[in-house]
Amino acid sequence: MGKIKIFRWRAVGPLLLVLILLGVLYWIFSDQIAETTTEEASTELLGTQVEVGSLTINERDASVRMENLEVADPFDRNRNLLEAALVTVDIEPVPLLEKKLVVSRIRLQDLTFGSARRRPAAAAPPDGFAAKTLETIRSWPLDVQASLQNLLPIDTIRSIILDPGSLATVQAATRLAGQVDSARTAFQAGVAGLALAPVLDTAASVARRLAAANPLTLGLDGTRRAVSDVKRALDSLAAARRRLEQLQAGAARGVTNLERGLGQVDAATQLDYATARGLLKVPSFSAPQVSRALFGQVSIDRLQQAAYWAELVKRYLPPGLLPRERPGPFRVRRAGTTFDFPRMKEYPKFWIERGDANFVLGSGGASEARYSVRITDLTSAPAILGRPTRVSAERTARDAGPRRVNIDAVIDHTGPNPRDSLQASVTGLRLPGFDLGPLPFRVDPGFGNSRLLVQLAGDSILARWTLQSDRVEWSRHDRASAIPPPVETLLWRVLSGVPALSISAQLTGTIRQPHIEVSSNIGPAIERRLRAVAGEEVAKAEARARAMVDSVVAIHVTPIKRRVSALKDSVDTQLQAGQSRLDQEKQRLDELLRRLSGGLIGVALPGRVEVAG
Amino acid sequence: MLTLLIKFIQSLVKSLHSEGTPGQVALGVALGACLGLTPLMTLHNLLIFAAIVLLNVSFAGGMLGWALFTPIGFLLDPISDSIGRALLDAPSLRSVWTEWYNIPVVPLTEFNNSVVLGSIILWAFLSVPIFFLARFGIARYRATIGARVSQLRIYKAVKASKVYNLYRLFRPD
Repeated sequence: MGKIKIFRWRAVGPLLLVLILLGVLYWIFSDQIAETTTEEASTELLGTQVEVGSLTINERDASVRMENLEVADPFDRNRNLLEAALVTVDIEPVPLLEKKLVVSRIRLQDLTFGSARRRPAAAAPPDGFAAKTLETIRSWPLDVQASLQNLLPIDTIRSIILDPGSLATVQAATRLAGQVDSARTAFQAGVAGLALAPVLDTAASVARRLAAANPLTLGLDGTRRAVSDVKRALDSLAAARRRLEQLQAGAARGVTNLERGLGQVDAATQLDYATARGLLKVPSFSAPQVSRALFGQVSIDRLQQAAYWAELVKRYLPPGLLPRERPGPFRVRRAGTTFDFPRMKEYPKFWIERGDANFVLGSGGASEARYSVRITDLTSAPAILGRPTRVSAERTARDAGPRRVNIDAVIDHTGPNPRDSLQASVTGLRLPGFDLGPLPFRVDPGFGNSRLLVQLAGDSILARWTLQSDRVEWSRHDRASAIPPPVETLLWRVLSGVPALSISAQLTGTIRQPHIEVSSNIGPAIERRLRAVAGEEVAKAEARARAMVDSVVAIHVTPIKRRVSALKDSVDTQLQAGQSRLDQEKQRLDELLRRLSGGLIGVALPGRVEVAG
Repeated sequence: MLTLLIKFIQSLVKSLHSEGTPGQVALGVALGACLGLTPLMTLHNLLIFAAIVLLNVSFAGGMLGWALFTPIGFLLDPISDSIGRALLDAPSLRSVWTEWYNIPVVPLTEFNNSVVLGSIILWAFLSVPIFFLARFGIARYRATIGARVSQLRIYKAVKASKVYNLYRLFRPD
């Protein structure tokens, strides 16, 4: 039995060959891989597309050189947040053995801001933290448009047109129409119940039969019968008259009720006028609301950017030394979760000891000046360093002058309660113009001052943005707006006459539930003008609302009034005609009775005969 | 897919008929299982690969173990993730991980990733039964149908190919 060999020495050669091959592959592709990895990681980290023109790793100096670095603006994909012509990164080699990136110095040369992109930036991975933060901030529940809607002129009451039945007048008229029908039916039934025609016919018949009768020829007995017939006819007439009078009284009550109903309809109309006035959208003209409506959007745009970067800082620079979780590296298999275990007196996972950048602002001439930016101790584990991250930017000493940009930021996550503050100010420089919300107006502040202050303590945020300019230029463009032309013209008249602009916006609360207040010197000016115009508009609108109610009332109430009047006339006519016929027949019978009784008026005749005198 | 299948068959044939002992082939399979069960592009797998090449174990067995356990590794990923997460999250082990995390080179192994750590632990436990099962299976194969298979044309074709010559560099002594 031979000795068992543990090592296969002849495989060393091929293994070395494989390792050499791997080395060659690294030499060929390392720059490309590092460039792609840098772009992908930065894009996910910042939530916006990061592109590197070329990347070269210099192993001998442990440095990386990047050319044409472009970072797209997460809020405007057609613009670059910044561009750097050259970026040099000096790396500490030893921490790389612990998979830690310690940058002793990073230099960004020839920075430019806000340049237009050749093509729109690609969207960041939607499931990344930055993209989610951006989505949260973009969906802030701050509806500045709503306050602008309140500037709309007084609206008429469309609901009246849509549902006339909602008017009290129409409801009262409908009820009255029912009463009119009932009253007419009851009256017709009463008229039918009078049975005047048979009574009158009988009376006329008696009168005709005895017209030529003579007591002398009739004899005592004949005369007595004739008198008795006349008396019965008179009794029937008297009974019919009583029925007629009862019907008359009932009809009078019915007419009174209908007239009361008409009064209720008139009262309901007054009520409807009041309701219609209440439905008018009377505008609100407080100065803060006007400022919010006009400058709310631009203020939010500025403050959203500050809040976005503050949130990323909070995420990537966590306080304390507890283990931290992050998604594992992308691979075909499950990525898993990667844990970091920071420890005091060790290198943090990521650390930029010092970064320098320079840029030029102004377009030649006196306004052109060089600026330098310095950042120190930017790290993923501030507690290890025990020093806050500081960022500062200022005009270089040799270019000192009245026009300047200053940035001073302190990111202190060394303790358990993170505290961040940023102060940025621009003095005497040309400020970018902006549109006034949905209005077709634009303001160009020209040379002015702007200041941004952001303070973060835990989840609370306080951000303030101010803008001041003494010589602003207002311009109108052709874009259609939702504001009616008279109001738009009014706003333009006020705005175009204001030479100076001062805006102050303040954001408080938390990133998820912020509250914004905006004030400006424009608000009170517009408020005064709008209030004057509003008085006239309110009066016009009230007249329109009254006319609207009247038009509806005319359709529904006038026919009812006509029917009530017609019924009343009909009742009067019919009752008067009946009464007249009864009186006429009674008169004829009275004369006949007087003649038959031979003038013995008041003499008791056989039976019960009463002669009306 | 077809290429993978052919390679798998090649590995299977070579390892079963290699000149190594069943123990050498089984050890190769057990080491190769690490390549399949754990995420491939990691530092520890470079060491495992070097071990398969340099140690006197069956290289074909290693390739067979890799091919055989890669799909199993994918299937076991959720379990590996859970194991690794439980270990990395355990307060009692935090000092160990923190120590390792701050030792040069060790973090390059990605031990602090839940899937990597969990799958290594899983492989460490499974490697022993894998070794014994493989050794038993290869011995049985050679005692029963191995001789007949070695007479097949296809086997001879594979054995005569240039690939086989390259393989001979790594065959066990």
